Amino acid sequence: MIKLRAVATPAARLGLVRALVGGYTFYYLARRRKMLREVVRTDPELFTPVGPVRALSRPVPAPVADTLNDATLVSTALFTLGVGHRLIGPVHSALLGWTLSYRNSWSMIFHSDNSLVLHTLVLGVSRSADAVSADALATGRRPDPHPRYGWPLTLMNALSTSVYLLSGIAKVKGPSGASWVRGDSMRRQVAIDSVRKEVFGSPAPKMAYALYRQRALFTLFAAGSLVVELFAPVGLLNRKLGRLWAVSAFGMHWGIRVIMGIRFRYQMSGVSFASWFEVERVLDLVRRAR
Amino acid sequence: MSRDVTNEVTWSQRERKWVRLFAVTVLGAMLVPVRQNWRPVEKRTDGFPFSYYPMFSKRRRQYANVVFAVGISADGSRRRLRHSLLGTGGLNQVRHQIYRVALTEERADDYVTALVPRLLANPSCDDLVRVEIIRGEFDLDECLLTHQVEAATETVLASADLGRVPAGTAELTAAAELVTAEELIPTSEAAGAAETPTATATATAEAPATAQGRASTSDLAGAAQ
Repeated sequence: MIKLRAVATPAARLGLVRALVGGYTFYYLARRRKMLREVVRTDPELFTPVGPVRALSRPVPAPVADTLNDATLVSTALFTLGVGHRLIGPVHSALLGWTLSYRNSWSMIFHSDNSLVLHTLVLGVSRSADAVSADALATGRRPDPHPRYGWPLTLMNALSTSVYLLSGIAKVKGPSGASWVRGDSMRRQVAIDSVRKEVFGSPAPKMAYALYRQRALFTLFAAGSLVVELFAPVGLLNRKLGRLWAVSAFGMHWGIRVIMGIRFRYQMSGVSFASWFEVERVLDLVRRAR
Repeated sequence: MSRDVTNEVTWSQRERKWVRLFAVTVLGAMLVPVRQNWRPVEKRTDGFPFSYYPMFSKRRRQYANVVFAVGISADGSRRRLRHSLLGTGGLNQVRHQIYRVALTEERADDYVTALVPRLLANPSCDDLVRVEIIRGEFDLDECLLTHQVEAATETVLASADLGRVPAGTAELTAAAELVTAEELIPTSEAAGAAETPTATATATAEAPATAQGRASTSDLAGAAQ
């Protein structure tokens, strides 16, 4: 494994990443509570279970789904605060995995949720609440840096890079093959996405129209995205390369937002990439500011 | 936390083993879906949260089909219906659902029948008298270069009468029916018969609308136009 063994890492780094991921999740789910209540009442014939929900042959009664959604919201709050993490961490990982799988079981998989579920799984089962948590406040513990606080971050990074690697492989293994790099597929993807938006009553981004003539630009975008995706694992070899990759991927998602109007919210928030950085320095800055 | 005599951080063998096992399992599960890329297209399956991310790998041509819904008002004007009117979960979920039901499963009639109560319950659709499920073929270059997102060809997969009579239309319908009735029956009876179409119109407005066949139009909407 890549440096999973003995890199002593401050507990506060992992703790703050947990708080950030949890905070993002709470915001994400709270804003969608009403939508989730509607989704679970969709025509059962459209139910196409994915992930752990495949254990079901038909949807659970809507009140049960509502209860699970609300339980996930509660567990998210406790996870964010770092309350009873030994129990809450795994429970929250399971609930979030279930809730988002259930949400994705109605004929459309939202792949942007994948990283969130996997990052939460890692944070949930690791000792991510030994610092920056209610548990730490209650016990007064201030653990020294230790590898047990480093491996979850490294694994989160590895999972992140895997997502991009798999996306890159899917592109070059698709019908276009290596010629995907020419940008024609991406250009047409932008076009079909814009047409769908317009047809379903949501205006397409102006940039999609403005850039459509610029074939050379799409070649550049396609080449850039393939580099970010296929070479993502290189970021695991070196801390600086890793941060450079994280910034590039973050920029790529904002580019997609501007040109295609697609929001990869977790990635665009930056929280998805927090595990690459020494985020605990923010806490030091806050302490000094006091 | 424990340190050995050289002040090196120690980490129990048991915890290390557990971490290694967990990391290998999760990363392995993450990477396994890559195999889908080597399977025949029709046998590929996507999953969550483990996916092979197929969305950007599909072949994109100049022409693309989109299945969507159009509302038609009494004056014959058409407007595409926003995704939030058709279903929940956002644009892409609604788009997948309508495509799946109307085209893949060839149940466009079922879709449009289920859609009618949603539209009748929505005040923004008060002007609509009919809804159609359309398969449109779009010339992507034409759409993007001219800023005009119009289908090159359209096929009506199903339509349904909303059973709604806009203001003034009921009287027009009744008058039109009366003329027909006068041609067939004596004037004294036609006066009574004139009530019939109006009652039919009212009943239709209250009754659940039924899906029409492919490219069909309802009698009421046809009369209104």
